[in-house]
Amino acid sequence: MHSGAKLSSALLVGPPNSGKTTLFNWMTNSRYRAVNYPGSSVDCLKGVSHARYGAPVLVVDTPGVYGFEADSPEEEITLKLLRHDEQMGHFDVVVVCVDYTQLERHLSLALKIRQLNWPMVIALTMPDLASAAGVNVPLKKIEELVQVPVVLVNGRTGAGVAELVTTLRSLQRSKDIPVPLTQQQMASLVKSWSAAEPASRLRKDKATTPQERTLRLDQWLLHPLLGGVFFIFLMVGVFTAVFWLADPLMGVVDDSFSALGGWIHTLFGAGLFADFLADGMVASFGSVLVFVPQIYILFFLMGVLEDSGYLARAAAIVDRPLDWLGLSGRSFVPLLSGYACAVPAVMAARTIRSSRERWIATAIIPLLSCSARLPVYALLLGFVFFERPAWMAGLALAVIYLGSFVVSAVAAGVLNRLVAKSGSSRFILELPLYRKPHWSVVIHGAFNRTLSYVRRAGPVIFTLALILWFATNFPRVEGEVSTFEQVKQSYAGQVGQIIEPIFQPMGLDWRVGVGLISAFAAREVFVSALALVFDVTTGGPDASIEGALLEKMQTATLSSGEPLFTLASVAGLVVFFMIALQCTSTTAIVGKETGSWKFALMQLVALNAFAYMLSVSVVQGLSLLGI
Amino acid sequence: MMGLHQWPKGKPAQVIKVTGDESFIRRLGDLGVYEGVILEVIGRAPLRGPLIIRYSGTTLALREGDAACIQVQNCPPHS
Repeated sequence: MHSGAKLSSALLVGPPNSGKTTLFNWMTNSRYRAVNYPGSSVDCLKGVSHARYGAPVLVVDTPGVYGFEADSPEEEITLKLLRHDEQMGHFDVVVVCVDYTQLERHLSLALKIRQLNWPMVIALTMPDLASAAGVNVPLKKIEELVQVPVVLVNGRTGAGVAELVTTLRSLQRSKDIPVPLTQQQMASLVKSWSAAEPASRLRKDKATTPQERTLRLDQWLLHPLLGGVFFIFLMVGVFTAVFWLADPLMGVVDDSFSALGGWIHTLFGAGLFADFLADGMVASFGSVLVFVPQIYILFFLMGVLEDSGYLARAAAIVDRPLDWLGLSGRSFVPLLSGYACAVPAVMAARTIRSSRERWIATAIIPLLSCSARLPVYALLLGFVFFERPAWMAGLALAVIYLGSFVVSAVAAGVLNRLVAKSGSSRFILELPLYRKPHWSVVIHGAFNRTLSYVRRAGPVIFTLALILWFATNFPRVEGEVSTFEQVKQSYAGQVGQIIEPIFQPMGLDWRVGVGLISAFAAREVFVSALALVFDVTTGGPDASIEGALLEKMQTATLSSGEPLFTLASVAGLVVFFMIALQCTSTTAIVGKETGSWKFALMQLVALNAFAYMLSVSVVQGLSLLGI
Repeated sequence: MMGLHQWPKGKPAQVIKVTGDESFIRRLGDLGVYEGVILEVIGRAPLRGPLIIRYSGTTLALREGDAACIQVQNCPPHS
């Protein structure tokens, strides 16, 4: 980039649902990455145009805007870029995406941008059905009116993209800025445009236009009763698919990291170095990557819903119930993501307009049952329903999910009462036309969001998992001792024994305490940490480590000789995991996104304190009842 | 003249005025809802949720309270 032949750079701007992302995918051949802008955590997508379009052009895809009224932190970024904010870097050309079926509205945004002294080109996109119907686009007329180059682009076939990139390059050379229009010129332009009224003509061209198909579908999908029923079935379907599809993949990730660990042990023998590599490095890496399948699948399914046009309807459907909690339909996507992982969920909260609503959503996201809790619940329920039919544990898991849903709703409701209302709450959302998803856009979009999660949460989880390994392996105990002795005398073990009184009211001892502290690296580490302190290193020939651990848990006792894991103490643990914020990456991302470490730390303390108190009440209550 | 929230479903209406704070008016304007625009209420989301309205190829969901800020009347006969 420092050579004389600097890449020309283009900003891709346009209203939401204008085919902008599809165009970006065509231009970059779906090879792009997220970039962060100074002073904000909002990502833009950055890529270089594909070689088939000639000399490369750098393209940055910006969050969609309707006008110059920023409605969320995301839109703010686009407006800053458009206003030549020096902090944001230099760009040569602006591409404004305009959907032909929304010409009047989208073109008025293009005209506003035209006033901002940019060399610019308009990319005219079309919904698929309209192009199939062979609508005659008055391209020359539009060009004459707005006096900037207009290129017709087909989102399905990619036709026109090459011409667009060529136009970009020549604009970068000529630096041809259109002469700003006077107020009068603008007004007369809009008037002459309205007279042409191409949108209505398009509507009457064919019997099945995209608009009519959408209207017909909405009669069902937004039906006061059936629409709600369909929504619930769809959400249940999405969740089932996420777990059902991800489960074998998570197994594969888990197994391959275990195999890698075992391979390192055979290669380097027993020493501490091999332990560090296998149980420290490799296992820590595994705990980062084990959630990737689940997160990818959720993002993929969300992408399908988004690209097909349904996601906006879903947001409209849940707006009313969310309104009771001080939220709106805008919070739907962040909350849904929260069921996979709080980190991308907190990141998604940027699209929420009201800062009050963003605040409430961010506060309750960690309460949603993220996938890291699943292995923990699986172990605890495996204990409670030991050698009982599998459906009982399944039902209990559903109850836990419902419970977490209720707890987060109550928390949001309480915060809604406590936090002063600021201004009116509103919800205005464009519902795009239904269409067949662009698979390439969906697949790459989900991949990029997942990568973004790994980049942000990965280092935190990895570092903490490493620290944990050191804390349980040092100081070294001399001689041949069991893992249990080593852990007991390690730093982690010592700390665990000192703070044991904290865990006693929960009916637990220091060993489970070490597990709970370890869970701060990532919740699922609880399982492997328990295996460590209960000296379960290998499963039998057929049994997994979990299986061997479950057997140990049946016989484990407190120092008093009473059983350690009872229905009461396990119920207490479940309640604790439902509420506690044991995820350092979440706190890190909340601090970053809200720009307030005070908020992040208060959330951390409040949720953990509340989890502890509730857990103690449950355990003590159940004990009183003799359970 | 009445607020859009009271307007019957399926009957075209013309926007006379959008009231409310500046940013709300600008936002609706950016979305294509301003004086003179002809629109139609096509339904309501479940649980008496947001109103679904349609105008010149755009479909929009907005809350009852927001819709009340859009003053509408019968369409002039020639349109």
